[in-house]
Amino acid sequence: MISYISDRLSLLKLALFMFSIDLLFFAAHWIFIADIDFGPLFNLGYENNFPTWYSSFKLFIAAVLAFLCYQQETSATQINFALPSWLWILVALLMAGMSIDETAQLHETASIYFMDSLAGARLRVAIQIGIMGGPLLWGMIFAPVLILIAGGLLSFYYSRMQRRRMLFLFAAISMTLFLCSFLLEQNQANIAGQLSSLQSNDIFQYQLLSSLEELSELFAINFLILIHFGYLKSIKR
Amino acid sequence: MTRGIRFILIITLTLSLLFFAYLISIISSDKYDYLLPKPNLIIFSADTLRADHLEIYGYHRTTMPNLSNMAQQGFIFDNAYTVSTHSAPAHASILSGLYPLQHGQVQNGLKLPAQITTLAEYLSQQGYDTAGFVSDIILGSESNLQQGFKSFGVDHINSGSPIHITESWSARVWKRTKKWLRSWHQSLEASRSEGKEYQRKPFFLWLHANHPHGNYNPPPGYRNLFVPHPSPSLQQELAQNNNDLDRVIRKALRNNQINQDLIDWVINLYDGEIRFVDHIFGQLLEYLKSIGEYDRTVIVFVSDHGEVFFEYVQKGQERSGAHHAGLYYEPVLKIPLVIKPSIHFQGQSGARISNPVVSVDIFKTVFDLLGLPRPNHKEGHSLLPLMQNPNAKTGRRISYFGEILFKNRCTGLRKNEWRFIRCERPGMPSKYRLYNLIQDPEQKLDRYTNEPNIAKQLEDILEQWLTEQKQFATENLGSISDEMRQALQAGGYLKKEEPR
Repeated sequence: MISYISDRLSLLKLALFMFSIDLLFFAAHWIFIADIDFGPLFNLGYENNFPTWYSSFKLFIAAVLAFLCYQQETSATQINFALPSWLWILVALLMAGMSIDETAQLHETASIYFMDSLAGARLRVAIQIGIMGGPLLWGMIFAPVLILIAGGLLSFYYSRMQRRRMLFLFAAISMTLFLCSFLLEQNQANIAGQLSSLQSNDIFQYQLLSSLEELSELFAINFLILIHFGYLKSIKR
Repeated sequence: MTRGIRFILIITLTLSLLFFAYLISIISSDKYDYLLPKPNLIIFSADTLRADHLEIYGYHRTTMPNLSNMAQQGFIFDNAYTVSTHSAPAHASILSGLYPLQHGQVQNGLKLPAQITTLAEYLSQQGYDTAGFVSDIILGSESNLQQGFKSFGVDHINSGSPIHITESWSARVWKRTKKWLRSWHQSLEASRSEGKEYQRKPFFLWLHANHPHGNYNPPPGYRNLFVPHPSPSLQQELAQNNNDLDRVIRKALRNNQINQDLIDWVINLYDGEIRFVDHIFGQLLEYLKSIGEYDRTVIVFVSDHGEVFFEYVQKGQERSGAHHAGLYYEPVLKIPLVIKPSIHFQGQSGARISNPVVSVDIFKTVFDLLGLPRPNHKEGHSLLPLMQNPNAKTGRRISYFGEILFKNRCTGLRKNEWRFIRCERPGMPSKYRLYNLIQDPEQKLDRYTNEPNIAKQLEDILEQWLTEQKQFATENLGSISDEMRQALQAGGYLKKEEPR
């Protein structure tokens, strides 16, 4: 099935398809934002709704594609890469984990627990974020691990895509978009921390930031799929 | 491994380690621990307490020794003014940081509109445990001043009830408050025993004492504190009138027989009530000390408005000779204000501040003292800069007030030595008054017609202020309960024939 799709679907068509859906979600977010019934289903800033499930689904696809890359690489190529092929399994597990995390909100829950601790309180006070903004600081808490993952992924993609410059560029763009998403979340934490003094402008700013942050994430995942898909196509030839 | 990959991995590892070290340095440092958790806040409001009856403002009797002691660690505001002569609007302004014409609760018996965000709501959002205990139905649920308080209690006992004498309103409120504080402290102790004290919720407590509001009827022990007994002639008069002081006063006013004996006795009772408020206030401070929270608590002691004693018996306003609503005189408008900061305050405590301030200013000040972001209100000034530099000549130059009294919209201002008052009623000519408070501190001489230029200047300033005020809500006249109606009529806030 995957093989059938990969033979007929060009990278460009796949990209157009995925980015169009993301933009539709972005539009739905703003169209239904004031709607009590539909708004929460499409709000990019919320969890457990259509954008989250879609995001989770895309990560799952990226995981499957990574696994197929491993299969294809070990069965059909004889190239000696700088980094071993079994790392594709690790990438697949990472994406699968991210997919589960997206739906189960594991990192948010961990962050809430951390923020309830003395260490969390100290972090919040030191960087002057109000109590309500604490849980949004997950990016900061996990930053050392996230940096390692981003660096590891980049190295791995580099080992495979030195001669496929466009795919490596996608990897760099993807990591940059994740970084943007992280920075936007810090700004959201800053606004949420001043909840008591929020004016309507701030609320709009918060909504804008959260929608852009989620859009960055959706785009970043698209690039991961495109990398895996593009690589799979290239090694099948 | 190629050079490119090695380069990416080294950069990654270095960045990750640096970030890790940064996080560890933050979470292992106790540098900012003094900011954790936030200070508690108590607003203690004594109803109808005029500033010049406290020794901290030069009164000859020791009416509030506990407040005087606390004031040594805090700040005494020598020129603090209320923004309304009605209890509910005055309290709503303290709790919302808005003037009555803005928050819409322009007189007693009206509801604070739900869209107004109160201090309790703001602090709840910041993780505060909030409680309000009041001793007058006028501040009860019908007034909506409970908005945002997680716990709220009203103890109202009808005037004249025997229980009023044996167990005063304020004493009952204190009992409730103590019970709540005890439960708050128990949860703190539980957190401590689990080693999680930093998780505790700070509290915001509003405690309202209905003393020394009339009828003056201090509890036993406070009745004869300053004057052992009334003069023989007054004693006889009281005996003939069932010991009903209000009746004796009304009779004396009607017959133009107000004498010094009567005034002295009334003031003695009033001062006795103040001393009783101090007793409750002292108990509160003692309890805070006993649980180790005194230093961690910002305490604001304030009154909603003052009172006059026969100084201004006006035609058509003869009531008891001791009253406050709609009486825009210094003893009513000037209020006591003492703020004791918590240990978080960076500066020297124990000073007097002479700059004029209004009760609306308390709102922004507490946010600053609690170390919380302030709501973007245009109204009010934070008093923190003055507390950090009591001699600074900054802040407010003009103090305003505004409310509605029996369908009259009365507004006014004080600027330097001048007080300007304007009362408007649709379809009727407006009434104006102008006083020079330096030459005529008792406001006996209305100079409105003699000083037209000054009156015009001040009216322009007032008009400008009224135009600039963003009105969040207008009058919100709704039906009221019979109990509230009785309380309003008893207090002289609602005429017997006036429908509501």
